[in-house]
Formats: sequence, C-alpha cells, structure tokens
Amino acid sequence: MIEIRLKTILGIVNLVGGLKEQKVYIEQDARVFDLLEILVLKYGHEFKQKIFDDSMEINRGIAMFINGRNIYALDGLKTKLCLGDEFLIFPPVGGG
Amino acid sequence: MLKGGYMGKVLRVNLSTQKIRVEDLSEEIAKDFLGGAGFGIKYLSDEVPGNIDPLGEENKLIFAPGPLSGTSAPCASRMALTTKSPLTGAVGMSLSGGHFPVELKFAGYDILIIEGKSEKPVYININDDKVTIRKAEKIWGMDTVDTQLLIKHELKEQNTRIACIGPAGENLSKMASIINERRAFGRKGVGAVMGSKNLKAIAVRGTKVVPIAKKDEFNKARSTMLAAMKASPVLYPEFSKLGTPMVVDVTSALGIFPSENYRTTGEKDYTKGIGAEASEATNIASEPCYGCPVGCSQLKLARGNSKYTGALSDPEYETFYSFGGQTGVDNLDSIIAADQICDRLGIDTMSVGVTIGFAMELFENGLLTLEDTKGIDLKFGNHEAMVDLLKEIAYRREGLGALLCDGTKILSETIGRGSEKYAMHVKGLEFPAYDPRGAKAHGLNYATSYTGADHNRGYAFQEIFGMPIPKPYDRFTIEGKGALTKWNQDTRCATTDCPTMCGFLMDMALPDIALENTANMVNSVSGLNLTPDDIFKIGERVNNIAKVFNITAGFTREDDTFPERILTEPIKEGTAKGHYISSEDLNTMLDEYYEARSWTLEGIPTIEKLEELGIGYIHEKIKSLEVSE
Repeated sequence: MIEIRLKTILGIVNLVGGLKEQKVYIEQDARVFDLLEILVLKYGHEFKQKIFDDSMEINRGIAMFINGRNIYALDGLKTKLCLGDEFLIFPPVGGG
Repeated sequence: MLKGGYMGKVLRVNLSTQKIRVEDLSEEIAKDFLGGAGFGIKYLSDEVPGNIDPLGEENKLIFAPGPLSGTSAPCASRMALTTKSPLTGAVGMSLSGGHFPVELKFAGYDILIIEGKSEKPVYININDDKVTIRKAEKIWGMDTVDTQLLIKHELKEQNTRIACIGPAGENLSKMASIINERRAFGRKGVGAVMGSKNLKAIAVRGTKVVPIAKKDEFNKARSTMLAAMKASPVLYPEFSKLGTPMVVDVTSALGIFPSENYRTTGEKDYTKGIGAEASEATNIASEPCYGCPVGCSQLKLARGNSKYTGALSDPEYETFYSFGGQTGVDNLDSIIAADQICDRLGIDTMSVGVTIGFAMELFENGLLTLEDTKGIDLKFGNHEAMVDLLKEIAYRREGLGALLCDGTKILSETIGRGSEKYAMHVKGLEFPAYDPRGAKAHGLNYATSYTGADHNRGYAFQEIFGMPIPKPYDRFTIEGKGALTKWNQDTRCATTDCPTMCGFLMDMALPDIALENTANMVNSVSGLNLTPDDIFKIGERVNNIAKVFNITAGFTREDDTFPERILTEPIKEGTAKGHYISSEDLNTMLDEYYEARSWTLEGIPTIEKLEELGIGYIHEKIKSLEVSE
C-alpha cells in the first residue's frame, strides 16, 4: 500500500468527513478510478452522487488534479497515482 | 436597416464647445463590431490618435452597451467604456454591470461619446432626447454616494441612473474608477479621464423600449440560454450564493492565490480568514444587475467588534486578493471596509490594493522608510494602515498619498533601486488575483491582453477551473498556450465584451455553446444574420484593432512581458511549488501566440490578416510608423 494526500474544497469537504486534507492508502500502481472507488466505499452515496452521474460518468464540472495537474491532460481516470501524490477534487466552480 | 436590439443612435457631447450631436449608427458597424468593446475600440481607433496624452483634451470616453442590453435577455446588462488609459497608455476598456448601462438604451442611444474638456466642473444630464450640460461646482468634491443622491435631488428624478467619479477621479489618480450605484467601471484609471474633462457625472433617464426584431426566435433563444444556465452545476447551486469570493478556496488549493506581493504565494493559508465559508457568513443580500436571475454580487456587512463594524459593501474575489493575500491581510471586515471606501472615493480596488502591497514590500525591504511613511508601520498584514492609506491616495495627499496615487508602475519608477523587479504589473496595469507562474495560459493573457495584466480579456478557465473546453490543458506546461490564449481572448471578446453579456456566464454555464448562443441571441434581437464563425471573427477583429492602436501608442514586443519576479523566482511552497515562467518559456509562448494570430514575430498584425478581417485600412496606421515586418 502507498500513501497519498487527498485534498478537497468547498462543497466536497463535508462529503469526505469534513477534512480538507487527509491521507488515503491505495494499492501500488492504483489509478484514479481505483482511488475514487475507495472513496465511494468509504464515504457512501452522497459522495458518489456528487462525483458520478447515473451512468457512472464523472459529473460535469467536477475537476481533479494530481500534484496540481488536470488529470484529463494526463491519462484521465486511468492516470497512475504514486507515493506522496496530492490528489485534489473540485466541485463545479467559477467566477473571479 | 437594423430592425431591433439597436436604438440606431450615437450621442456625441463635446465639453469644449458644449455642442451636442446625434448621429446614426451604421448597420455596417453593428454587423462588424456588435456593440460594447467592439464599438468602443472601433471609434477609439478611428477618432483618437494612439500617441495623445490620455488626460488631454483629445482623449474621448466612449460608453457603449450591447444589442441585448435593455431587453429581457438574461445577464446582458453590461456596458463597455473605452478610452486611452492614463494608467497604461494603451487601450483602456472597462466593463460595468448594474442599471446605468441599460438606461442609456432606454434613452435611445447605442453609444455615448464624450469629447473635449469643460473649463469648469459639469455633469451631463440625458433625459431621452433632451441632453443638457449642467454646472457641477456644488457637487465637485463629493464622494460617489453623495454625488448620486445630490444629482437625483437636483433633477427631482429619483429614477435617474448615474455614473460618476469621486475624489480620486477629480485628483486625476491613474487608478480612479467610475461608479454607478455600487458597480464600477474599474481599472485602467478611466475615472481620471473623466476628471481631466472636469466631468463629474453622467445622469441618464430613458423611457423608450428596445425593439426586438424577431420575437419568436428571440424567445426561443432566450429559453435555450436560460435552460443552459439552469443546467449549469455551478451557476445557481453555488455561484448565486457564494459569488466570486469562493475562488479564494480554488486558487488557494491550486497554490496560486497571490500572497504578499507574490513574495510568498503558497506559503500561507488565507482560506480560514477570508475563504468562502468566512465570506458567506457576512452575506446579507444579493444585488443582481438588471435582468440577472443569478445575482452573484453579495452585499456583506462587517459585524465584528472592530473599527470596521458596520461597513457594508460587495467586495468581489479580486478585492479579497488585493486587500487580502496581496497585502498579507486575512481580516475580512477590513476588506469589506476598504471596498466600501474605494467605491465612495471612486478608486479601483485591484490597482490600489496591489500598489499598497507593493509599498509594503518596499517598506520591508527598506526602500520606504518610517520617515517616508510618516511613522506608519507599513508591514504586510497591517490592515489598519491599508485602510487608512486609501483616503491619502484618493486625495493625492502629500507624502505616501501622492507617492502611491498613480499606481504600481509609477511608484516603482519613482523609487527605482531595483524595485521594478517586483512591481507587479504589465504595461502599467496591476496583476489580477492569479499567480501566473502556476497557470501559464492565464499568464500569457496578462502579457498579451490589449489592456495590460487583465484576467478578463482572456480568462483561462481551462487552467483555473479544470474545464475541458475546447480540450483539457495542463496549467504548468507551455505547449499550445499561445493558440489557447488567442482562442480565449477572441471568444471572450466576441461572446461577452462586445454583446456585453456577463463574463461569468461563458466560463460557468455556456462555454461549450458560447458562440452559438451569442449568434442566436444577437440575430434574433437585431435581425442580423451572423454565424458562430462570424461572431468569433468579431472578437478577432476587435483584438487586432486594439493591437494596432497600442502599436501606434508606442508598445512593442518588449512590453508583452512580466516583472522579473515572475521570470526568475519559482513559487516556493504549495501545489505550484517550483513553477515560474522563464524568459525562454515566455518567448516560446509569445512566438506561438503571434503565429496563431498571424502576426509577425515582432507582434505586428500583417496586412493580409487585417484584410482578411475586413480592416485592411488600419494597416496605414502602422505603416506610417515605419514598423518593420
């Protein structure tokens, strides 16, 4: 197992135990979809609904970053996670 | 002939001769430039030489709403003000929402051009076809709230809408704004241009109706737009409650919320003191612009027991930065108070906050001494000094006030001694609230926008919000960022700045259908027949005309750059740790950007490009300057 850091902001924080940052343990060579599966198991229906639509596609506006890089500019949900990575999930955001 | 959307008239007021003229708006201009920034930049380019003194008689103020303003189109209440900026010397284009913009349409005008200079203080009163220039000696010296109240009282017309300057504009601060109610034509020192003309205010009351060319099609386009807004996962569920200040949490998580004049970005967490949760707790009501079902602007009350108690204002995200991270302040009540004071004094919250943050670093580095500050301990985090300084600056008071009154660039030129390395501006316009070292296309837009470091001219929502339109981008890399920046700038110009629709809509609700939506809305309201490609071309056309104006104002490739801090100092902590934009990377991005624009490597639009855009005639302007291609 390897340790990564999960960071969330705004409306996602309360869906992951109220923690803006927490350690999560995943299998070596795990990918983003493996991590999301672990989080759905851990945090249940509300978290799942926020992230996935009924066809288990990622909801519009949900953004995810590994060490600050948009996962969709990497390998998307298949992007590999490494020891010490920072995984950040945004709810839909805008403005500024 | 234009069948709707446009009122068909241009109102021209000359303050030198006191002559007032009404001209026809040509269909050609409407078709090629739409409205707003398009109209403003077209008229500026045609009528104002690039090399004039922005505070001289030759400069003009061009106010232009868009074809949708004043109709039931959602979020189209805005107006562009275009002038030559005294802060930058480049095109100064500033947009404001509120209720003043649509009133000009109701009075029967698509454009208001103010030229010349009055000998004594005056204000302009527009009441439908009756336009008068009135004495303003009595109100000269008043803040913007009292000015609006007194003019309404004098005109015996409580429903008139007013845009006015405060003491900052009167004292020709290059950071002065123009205020209408609580909304601002901010940045670029547009208030100083009004002050230089001895023009205190413009009052408008109108009773006309904006005609709709194709009612059924308009209703259909409007329903489609409202449905897309409703389907947005952020617009109503989040944005209508939290407004722009929620972005503090976003940029903090990305490690690009600027801190202490960009010296410590990523090193300090501001979300506890001034993040979305703290911000929401101060909300008392939303203040929608005309015809906006979202109402993102949040009126906030400082309730704590401090010297700021009772302060009431509507600071946006950028103000949370300029009076927050930038100055090392995490006291929310002081930000609310500073915002309120700035609106009353008519000074731009972004420019003045960045300038104060810069002065704080000068103080900590010993380039400003206690003697210079008259004993004020101007260190980062001193919110009391920050708030107290605002009045000094707006009134250009001897000492720090006069020193800071004209913004970051002039302050750095006055101080010298290497301070320009961390004077955070491009072309004189102070940085917005995103550290460009951690968002490269967002940064390239600062370097190339025709107004200077202006996030709103080409917002890279792909990098800041992770939105995959037109495709996903890695914010730390430079590849493809030249073409992306061109796309962002042209799309933003075409879908928000010219039709004068709210910029937040495109980024949050309609980015995938922005061009199509704009075409459908504009065509149905006006009877024009523009394709989404035509709309995009309008954005490109306007960006090219603005570029030519800036070349005639003396700008070159050397000006499309960053302060040395961005080019040499990596961000030291946080998610964007280690990132910066080297000179080499900047040059690579610039080359790619100019190529995407079909400009020369010196950043000069080619005659072929200008002809393709139907504006070949302006090539004469740069040819006469003998700029080599």
